[in-house]
Amino acid sequence: MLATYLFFGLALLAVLGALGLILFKHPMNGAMSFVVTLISLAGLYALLSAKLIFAIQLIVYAGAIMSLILFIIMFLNIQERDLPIDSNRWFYLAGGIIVVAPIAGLMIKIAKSLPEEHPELIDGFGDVKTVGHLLFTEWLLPFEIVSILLLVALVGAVVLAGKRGVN
Amino acid sequence: MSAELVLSGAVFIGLALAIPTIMVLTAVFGPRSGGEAKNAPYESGITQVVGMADQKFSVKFYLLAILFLIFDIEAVFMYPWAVSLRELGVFGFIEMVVFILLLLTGLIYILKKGVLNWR
Repeated sequence: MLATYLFFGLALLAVLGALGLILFKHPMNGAMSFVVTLISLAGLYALLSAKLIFAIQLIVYAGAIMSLILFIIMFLNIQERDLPIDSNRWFYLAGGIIVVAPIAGLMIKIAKSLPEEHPELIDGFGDVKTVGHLLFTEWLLPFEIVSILLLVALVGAVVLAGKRGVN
Repeated sequence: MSAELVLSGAVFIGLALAIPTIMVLTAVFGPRSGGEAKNAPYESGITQVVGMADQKFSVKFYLLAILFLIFDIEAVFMYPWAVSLRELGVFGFIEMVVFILLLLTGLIYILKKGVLNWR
């Protein structure tokens, strides 16, 4: 019962944060609402007993990705006067709703096709220990390939950023 | 109470109750003072303000943020590894050494490239 209340509370916070992200005029306010969404998503992951994903959501998304977004906002340094006067705001909003509507329909279809009975979770589902054990025994090769992927991303970032003459 | 409920409950209480409460309390109880002297950037000495506080940052900082993200993901992989290290034994240790050595070459690369040099 408590889990249901928590789910609705966190879902409401996530939706409110997402609304703030698109409705706030100043980018910094939008970014801060996005943090609310990311953190409440972490809470939802915890409700799904995905404890490792909960930690990763907080460390990587609410931490590192958010700092990237804030850095972009600080580089561009958008002032109130730089923002365009979007008089067609409601027109664009309606267009966006039309584009997203099929996805929402698909989501409702998925939600309706979910099984009624709750399947029993295996012991230690989503635990940091269980996932770690699986990752480092069965999924060893993908794990090592991840390090090469990260290396490629690192070199790519340095090469691409150096191109413009960082001085 | 299970760990799931504790974790998500802590997130909910923090987001929906604790942070707004702290913000409201600071707004209510915080001391307020105004005046020209208080709002001046410096009390004395510098009379001419140069530029604005919210100036643009060098793109160089952005590269640092990307590099931080990459090493952050590396650190995330160490979390499940550290928790199940006892079961994995020496084999698991060697796995992580290979992983870190591969990323260490990346660190050496950015050091040689002089990305971390400030001037």
